[in-house]
Amino acid sequence: MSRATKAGAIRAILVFALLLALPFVFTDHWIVNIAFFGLMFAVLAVAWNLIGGYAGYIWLGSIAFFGLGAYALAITFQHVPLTSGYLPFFALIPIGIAIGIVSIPLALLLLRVRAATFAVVSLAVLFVAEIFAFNLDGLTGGPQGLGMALPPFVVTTFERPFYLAMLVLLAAVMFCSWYLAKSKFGLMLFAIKGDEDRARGLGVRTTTVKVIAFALCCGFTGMAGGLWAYYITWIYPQFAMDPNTMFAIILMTYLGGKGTLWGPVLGAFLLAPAKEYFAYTLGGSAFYLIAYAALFLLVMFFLPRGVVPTVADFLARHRRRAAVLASGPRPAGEQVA
Amino acid sequence: MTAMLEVRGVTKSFGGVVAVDHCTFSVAAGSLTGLIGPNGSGKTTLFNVITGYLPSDSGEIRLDGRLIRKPDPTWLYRQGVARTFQNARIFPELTLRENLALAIPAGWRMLLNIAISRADRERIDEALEIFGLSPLADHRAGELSYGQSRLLEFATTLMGRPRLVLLDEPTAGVNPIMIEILENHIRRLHETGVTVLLVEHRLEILMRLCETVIVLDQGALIAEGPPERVRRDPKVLDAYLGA
Repeated sequence: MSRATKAGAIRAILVFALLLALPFVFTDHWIVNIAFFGLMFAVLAVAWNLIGGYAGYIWLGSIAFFGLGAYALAITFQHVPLTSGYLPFFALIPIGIAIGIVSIPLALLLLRVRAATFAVVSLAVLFVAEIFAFNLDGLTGGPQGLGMALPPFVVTTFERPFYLAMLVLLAAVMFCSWYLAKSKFGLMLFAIKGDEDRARGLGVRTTTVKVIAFALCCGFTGMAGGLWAYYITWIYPQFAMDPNTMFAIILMTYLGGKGTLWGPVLGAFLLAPAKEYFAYTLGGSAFYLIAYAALFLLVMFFLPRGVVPTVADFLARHRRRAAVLASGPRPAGEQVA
Repeated sequence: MTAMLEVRGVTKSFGGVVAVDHCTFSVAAGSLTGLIGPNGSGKTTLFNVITGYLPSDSGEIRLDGRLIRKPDPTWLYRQGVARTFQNARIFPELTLRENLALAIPAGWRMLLNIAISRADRERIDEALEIFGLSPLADHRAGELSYGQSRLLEFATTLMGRPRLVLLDEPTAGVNPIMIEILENHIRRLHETGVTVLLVEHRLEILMRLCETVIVLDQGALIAEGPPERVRRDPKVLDAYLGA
């Protein structure tokens, strides 16, 4: 579990300072573009980790709320004049809250089932949402997609405001994730993952706790979707609610270490650029997906619990061994049991 | 003595198998009551029905004379009814302290409080001390031996300050020293005024600890009374003791 240590605070400040400096140091469009998507996937993975990693519910419909956020922002600014380029960034807050609230009835319905059944039912949510996006032509533009007004930012640093907005969103979702992990609420989520029935028998209101985690996940995911829509300015159902993106988020979380604070971020920053790199070097064919999957399989084979828990365990073992060595040799005649 | 727990005509079937068959008994407040029966006699199913893990087909359960229409484990825990399971159920990924902290009931406003508050820590440390688990306080529960897991589960159950504790074979699968430790904890718990309903396979423990013993066979209650009388009951001898 995450703890508020001095080392942890320094690590967080360092990482965010580096991320903040990135678009000012590397000004090439393609670098900031890839970094934007890295941040976006980090937000999505950290948000997914709240329900998937902390509570252990493999929620495969999360990306439907990404699409919902994207459409919500695009539709809002078809009716609201874009008086400032920064206005949509602020609009993300009410959109995120609204999506979180909208997700509650769905959570109450879905979270009645567990484990594999939950995963299958939640995948159905994604496909149903995608079908709606394709067919509600009047609202979503259907397969032709939906456009947004072009953001009025300087071309030379066009990506920068989006990057910084996504960085703020990452800070918000990570703070939420960290705070929950160290709270009683987080303890309850971890208990639900461990043994939900036992948790119920110890007075944990499991449904409420799960629903809150689910709503937070959907709210943050929706905000990321809105920001993405504003960045790319034109959204299609197949990209706004792409099952490949859904699986990418889960792969990133598993790769970095699900149920940890930094694991999903690390997974996102390893896999998101790798995905872009493979897509670039292996062309537009689906062959890049094979390379992407192979990379994931290799990591899962050698680091099955993910990078962060494996490294943390290794360091803990190393520290214990060092402590034993530092305590000096055993007195003569002492037997090792 | 007034009854803390009343089970009236409770029946539970799984398909064609009647696991609990019109079971009726009561547990007096402050008593230590044993529940015995051969394997498959429905003891654990009855525990699951009483604590809301399984819905009954018919019958009723009363707590302090109050009818519990739809027993729910969370609600019952908050009403002071706690239980252990046949196989120790702890949270292996959490530390011992976290296991115990989780079991301290939290109101809505406390959900966002730090996982282990200062006040909680004192209670937790006291519980760890009583159960001899203090040196392992910050270890993951998954590192414990089975006997230690039993102790942790027992300690966890008490964090909600229960009035009624249902113990499902607490000494199963543990070594003789640990059995003695657990027996002492059960006795001490009872001495603090907590009502205990105990399922136990080791009859000698039941005979030492319990004031009343209830015997189930094939889901039905076949005998009830003081241990010595139950021990001589022909139905019990036939069904359970086989002597």
